[in-house]
Amino acid sequence: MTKVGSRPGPAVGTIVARNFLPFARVLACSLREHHPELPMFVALADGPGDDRDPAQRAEHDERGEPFELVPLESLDIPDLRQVCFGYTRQQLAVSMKPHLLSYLLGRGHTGALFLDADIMVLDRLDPLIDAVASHAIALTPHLLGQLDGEARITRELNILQSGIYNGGFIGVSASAEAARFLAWFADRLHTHCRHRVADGMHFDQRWLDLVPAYFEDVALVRDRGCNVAHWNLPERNLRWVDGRAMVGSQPCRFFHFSGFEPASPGMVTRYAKRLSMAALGPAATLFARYVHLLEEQGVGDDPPYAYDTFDNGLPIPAIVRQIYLDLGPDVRRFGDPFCTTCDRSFFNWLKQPTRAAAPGADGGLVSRLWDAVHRSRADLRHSYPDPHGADREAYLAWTVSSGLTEHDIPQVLAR
Amino acid sequence: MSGVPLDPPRCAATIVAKSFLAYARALAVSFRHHHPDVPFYVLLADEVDGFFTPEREPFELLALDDLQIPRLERFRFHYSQQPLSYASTPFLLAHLLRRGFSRVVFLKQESLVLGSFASLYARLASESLVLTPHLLAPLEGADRITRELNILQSGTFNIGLLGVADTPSAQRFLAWWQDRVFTHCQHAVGEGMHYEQRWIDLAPALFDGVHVLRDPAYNVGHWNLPERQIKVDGEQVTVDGEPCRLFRFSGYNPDEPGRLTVHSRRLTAGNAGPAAQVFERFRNALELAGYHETKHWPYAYATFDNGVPIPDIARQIHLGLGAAGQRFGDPRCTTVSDSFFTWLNGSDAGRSDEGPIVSRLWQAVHASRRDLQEAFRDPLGSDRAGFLAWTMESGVREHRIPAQFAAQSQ
Repeated sequence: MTKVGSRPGPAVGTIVARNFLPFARVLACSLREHHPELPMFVALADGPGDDRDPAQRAEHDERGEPFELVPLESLDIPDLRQVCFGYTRQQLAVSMKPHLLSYLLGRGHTGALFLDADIMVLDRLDPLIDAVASHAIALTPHLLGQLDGEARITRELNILQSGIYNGGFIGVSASAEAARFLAWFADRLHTHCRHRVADGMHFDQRWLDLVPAYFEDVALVRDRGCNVAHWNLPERNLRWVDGRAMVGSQPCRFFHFSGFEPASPGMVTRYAKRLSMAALGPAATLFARYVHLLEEQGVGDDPPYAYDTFDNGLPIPAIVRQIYLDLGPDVRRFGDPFCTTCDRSFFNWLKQPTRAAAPGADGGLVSRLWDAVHRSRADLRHSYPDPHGADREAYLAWTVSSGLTEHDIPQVLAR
Repeated sequence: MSGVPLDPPRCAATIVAKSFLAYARALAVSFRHHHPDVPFYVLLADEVDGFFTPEREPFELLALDDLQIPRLERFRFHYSQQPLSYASTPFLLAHLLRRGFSRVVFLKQESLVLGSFASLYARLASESLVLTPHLLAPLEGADRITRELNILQSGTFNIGLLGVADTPSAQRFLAWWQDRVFTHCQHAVGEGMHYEQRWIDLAPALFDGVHVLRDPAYNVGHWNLPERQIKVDGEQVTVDGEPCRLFRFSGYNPDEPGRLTVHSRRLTAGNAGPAAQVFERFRNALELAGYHETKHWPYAYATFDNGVPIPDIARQIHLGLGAAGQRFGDPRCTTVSDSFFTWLNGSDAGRSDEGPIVSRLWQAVHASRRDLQEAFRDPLGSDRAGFLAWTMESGVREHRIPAQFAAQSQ
């Protein structure tokens, strides 16, 4: 029997690569201000690195990070090396959400709340904490009511493309139903945390559309102060009242700076270029404050990402990750995908020709890499219908003149 | 005829074009068998045109004209037969609520009611909207991800079954759904649309009183058959040991009964187990309802009023014109001087002496296809002859363009 009352209360977690640590610090500090009782965990979707190196800001050396760091290896992720190779930095971080939530529940917390790193807590999070205390799973919808105005259909279709519920918040309780949800979510994100809207995927988010159908006891938190962001800002009507951010008559509980890039502080989000900071109204103050806090926490240092390169230092092009992912479970035969020197490495496989050399063929053959590039692009299939035969010369010329730069492919993988 | 409605008044309804009238009959009969006191309505998204006698049907017939659909001639023109039925759904439901029914259940045409809907109507006592998901639990097996992605492409909830109550929230929901499907009832998965269905994924977020009915006895269909244990014992069909209430036959073609649905290659009458008997029962019910006769009945809105078939691209062009399309009046009408029909064959580019023009219709075809834009970069100028040759050789066939819109060779 579990003794009631002996378990630690809910915990909050986020996931970042090292370059996003300043965001996690701002989130953790803002959480501490409004919920000093909630422990904060940050999973590092990056290599171990040396977190005590001099680049670490001095004040953190003194008082430590405002959160407990969870290394990637602490999360129970199968085929970790393969996942780190197949996914981009962003995909890797997103795909770890179910693992982090399971990890926090595994430490005995009664509930676990995931918050995206680009969120700032502005007030008490009681509706979320209550939802997790009384339900197995809690989600926040992007929109809480039908939209009006000219852009209503475009904006709602945008949400249908990206998912009804925003993945910036996911809450779970220590329950069998939440465990079922997390096991399913982890399985799907293991291979299908991808941005392919026409196939039904938008990273982790479209999968969440299935949650109210699949699981019992799902709370859709329709509190207007939660998850205020560019997609619902026109309806939330954010105002400042005595220095407090308000949405209607209630506090703005947390703001989600989704797609905001501190290096371009005039742009609200990279996802909706039509929004300009100048036309944003009272919310612009919040962005200005956010930039200031991020700068204080060292944003812009841009430390390298551990899984950006092969073991010989060559950068891994995005299309190479895609090819690897598309191969499915078959990739196990390559062993460690980062390795360039091992027998039967993925790196060498990419360079191999897809067809045996025809006698007298000159000018080279199309490698597996360039064959996969060809298959992935309708325009190339249209322009070079027969890349291994009649169009081979022309296609190979294209790979050198345009292909390398369009796909950021290193010279070593030319042809 | 309908019995005396009980308090609170309930009803059920479906929508068909008349070539599917046998489906409406079979569904109505199956519903009335389990609910003799509940009226069943059929919206005809078509015209009767003397093909049948509404008074002799086992349901109450409604016409599109009854539903207060704004700008009906345009609405009817914008969609081909099936999408028009889909887009009419929220208008039908709102009409039935206005008529005084307080609990309304919508069913898609290719269905059989096999048990009582009492638990569904009971839900509508406290909820505004009842939705049934395609799937009720995570899938297992090698094709689990493919199958779930299929659902994500088409919508979490299946709109073959929907319940609404006469509450302010349901009224708001229906007004919203009407507005969205009036222009955006398309099959464009990459843009977030799957006819009327994907819109409903938003309902639990946008409206109060939305209930997700997770009962395996409702809405059994090809998409969830592997997970539902079907047993047939004489008349009785059970799902996971409980009486089946609604069975769906989406994509089933009675003329090709071995293949249970066009939507799945893996499911056949040979491997479906006892469920195959339910499909067989459906086929018998359709035949009894006159399937072989009604399937030949023509769709009234398939042609302009001069009998020329309306190509899909013409529907899309008119839809794209928005309010500017109003000046043509009824777009099917060809007898007025400034008709949409005539306009499609004209061009803003003006007529040159050098042969046939590229009409607005063919300009729209060009604008809709990237391959044509690459192959014929300047369709009104230097590539005109080449593009026109393509329209004659391939275009008329690929887009099913009637001869009246073909470029005239001179």
